[in-house]
Amino acid sequence: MKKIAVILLVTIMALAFVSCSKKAETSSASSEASVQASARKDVEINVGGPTGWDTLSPFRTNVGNNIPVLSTIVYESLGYLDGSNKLVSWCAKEWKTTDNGVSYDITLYDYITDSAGNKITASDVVWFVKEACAKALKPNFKYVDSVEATGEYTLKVKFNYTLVGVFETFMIDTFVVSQAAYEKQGDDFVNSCVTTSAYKCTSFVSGATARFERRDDYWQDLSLLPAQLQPNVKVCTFHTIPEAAQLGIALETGVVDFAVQFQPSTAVQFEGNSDFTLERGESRNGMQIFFSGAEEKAVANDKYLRQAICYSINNALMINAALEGYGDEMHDSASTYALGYQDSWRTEEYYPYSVEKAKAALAKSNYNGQELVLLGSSNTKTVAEIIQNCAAAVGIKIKLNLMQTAMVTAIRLDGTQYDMFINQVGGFTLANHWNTRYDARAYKSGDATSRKDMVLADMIAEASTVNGFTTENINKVHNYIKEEAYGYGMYQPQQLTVWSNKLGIKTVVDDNIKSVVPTACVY
Amino acid sequence: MLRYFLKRLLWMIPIILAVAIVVFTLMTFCPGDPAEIILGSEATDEALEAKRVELGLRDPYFVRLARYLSDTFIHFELGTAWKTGIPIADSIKERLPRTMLLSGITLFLSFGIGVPLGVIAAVNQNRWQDSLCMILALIGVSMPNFWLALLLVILFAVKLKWLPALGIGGVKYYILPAISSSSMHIASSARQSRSSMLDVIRSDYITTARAKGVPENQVITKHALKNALIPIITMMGTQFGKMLGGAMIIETIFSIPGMGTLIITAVNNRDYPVVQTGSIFLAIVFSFSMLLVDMLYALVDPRIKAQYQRKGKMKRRAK
Repeated sequence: MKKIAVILLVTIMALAFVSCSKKAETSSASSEASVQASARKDVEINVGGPTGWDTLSPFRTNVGNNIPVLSTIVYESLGYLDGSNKLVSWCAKEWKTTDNGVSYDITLYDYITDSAGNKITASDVVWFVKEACAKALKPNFKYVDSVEATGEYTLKVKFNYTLVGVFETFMIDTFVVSQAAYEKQGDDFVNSCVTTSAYKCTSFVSGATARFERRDDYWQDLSLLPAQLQPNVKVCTFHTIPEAAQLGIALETGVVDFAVQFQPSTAVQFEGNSDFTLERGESRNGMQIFFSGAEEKAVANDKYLRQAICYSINNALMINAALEGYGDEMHDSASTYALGYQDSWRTEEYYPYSVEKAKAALAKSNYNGQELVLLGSSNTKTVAEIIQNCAAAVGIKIKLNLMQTAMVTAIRLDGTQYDMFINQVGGFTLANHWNTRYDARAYKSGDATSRKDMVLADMIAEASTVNGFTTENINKVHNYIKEEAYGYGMYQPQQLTVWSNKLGIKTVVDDNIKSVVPTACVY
Repeated sequence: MLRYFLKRLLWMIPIILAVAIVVFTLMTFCPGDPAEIILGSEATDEALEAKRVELGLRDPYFVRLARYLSDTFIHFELGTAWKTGIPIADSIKERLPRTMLLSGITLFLSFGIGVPLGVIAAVNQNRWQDSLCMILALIGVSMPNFWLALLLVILFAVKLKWLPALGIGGVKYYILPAISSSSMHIASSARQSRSSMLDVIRSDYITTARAKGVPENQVITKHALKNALIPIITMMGTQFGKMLGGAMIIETIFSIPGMGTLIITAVNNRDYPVVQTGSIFLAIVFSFSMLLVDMLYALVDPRIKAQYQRKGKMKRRAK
């Protein structure tokens, strides 16, 4: 009897295994089709982040501008940078240039409508650009020389400088808004807006929450949109949670399903936790130290002193101490995200931490023991203290001058106020980064640290144009800045996103800096 | 009484004006460039200068002050925030009730718990109840409220899941923030109540009441506590002011978009109109709370009420 029971049991188990494996084979063969077919479209998600949007106005810059979920669902732009950093169509159907990037002819889709039913034409886009230039609240539009509608759905934009990336930035920063809807509402869209987005903002509390619901009357054929812009969730509510520990608690307690721009100190507890997934993306910004170029400062005319400081900084220690290991050492003062960044730089020597080399460089310098001032904000206290200690180990005295961010902003362009300055700087392209930091013609006092190196300024001017942005010119500028040690990239923080596995994400969709776009994931 | 009330109301006007001028002056001379914060680091020098002119930052101090006082107190135009463009009146209308609710619950807790603790300590002076109450008070005064806030969140929101960890909604969202905020105030109230009660308990009329056979709880509540309330009420007014100003930390931890976070964000962004207007509103609320305190004196102490009434009569006779 027992034998019969065992035989029966084994037979049943064997049959079960066979049928399961058949199912697995079947499902693996058509898994992709079934994922799409079975993808849930009724998902409601809550996303939390330390910064959000303070205003819905399309003309103002928010601290939370770069949050992937908000940058894709509040307003639509003319173009979008997809996962491979390529500009693709969004509201602009196509574009072309016949004069090497000086001007572009842009054609819109002729069926764009906003949530109030207003049809979008080229005149709306022209109005937006002119209004943004007049308000001067979108700094990237400073390169726009003129813009005019050439047809009902076509426009021409001309730039006053063929800087690399200017057109891409223009396309991304030009929001598509109906002039009629904007003027009818009359309040700059600060608390509520009418947009062409696949999502409608149904509730907004500045600096607290923003709720978006998918529209049923979205104008575009979804097959024409890249993966990052697919509206795969029904409702997305964004919560601004400034306190890092609270963001972690919100994730644990289920108040939010996604946490973006997670602080490393809190992210550590989710590493290896089977209930959550932690993804590391690239940051748009790096943490850099820039040396003053003001004539009266010791570091300004002493290359070996600058190099000594660069060699003395222990970046690995800084990444562990300040970022819990969630960071990468840099190989240029620009971040890896910047267009034009060369892969070859990742393997070349870039002031590796070496006390011997630091002391050797210091011996060649004219440093005579004076105290150097390191300027930073209160957010960079840990980094500043590590730099101070590292420099002290090789015999360089540094005094910390840490202040509130607004006060740092007030004096950062005046190189006479400091010897070194810690900053977090990005830049969509290398040209952007160089022009903002090292171009001696950029500001009245010189470059961003009051340096007036016209050799470098000329090199940057040549390499920044569309034709001049070649590997050879890029390397020339990179090598010059590296040799002179005008600026030094210390580390690039990783962009951390954590989400709950209860969401059941089938396909994760990342943007161009490998950050998850919660609304575009397949559930 | 009514004349006294009206007189105090009129006195509020120069007080609010003085607050407005002081805050305006402090913000004017505070380092930091609002134009650069609004336009960002990539703005051109021309754009920055144009923005400074547009915001009126290039005008002399007295011109700007006159314009600000005229707009605010004569035309009642509060303007829009420089950084976000949101009308300041809308922001305050939205946020002030949240801060008031949080401060109100905190006040209720601090006196609802602090005063009884102080009374128990005073009645049982030098016994274990007194020691326990004062140790609790010392812990409350010493413990940073942000640290307590996170501990409470871990216990009640994460482990027990009884209360929400953050955000806004119904009253339950304010319980943890109010408890965190009130710990220090409970301790102060307890200590002040104990001290006031001890002064009163030793009075002759208390001894007389006991000698007459009045039950002890009536001696404490009807006779002693009522007379000990004056300093406690005074403290209530000043603590309410501290609660309004100190709400910023609790609002940040619990992600409550209230006046505290509005003003501190505006200070960091050098958003002068928001800081100035927000400070004026808080000053108005605080002034009203002190006026209420003075009115409560009259309710609690008939001698003070008679004093208010006598002053009015004397002035009328002099006329």
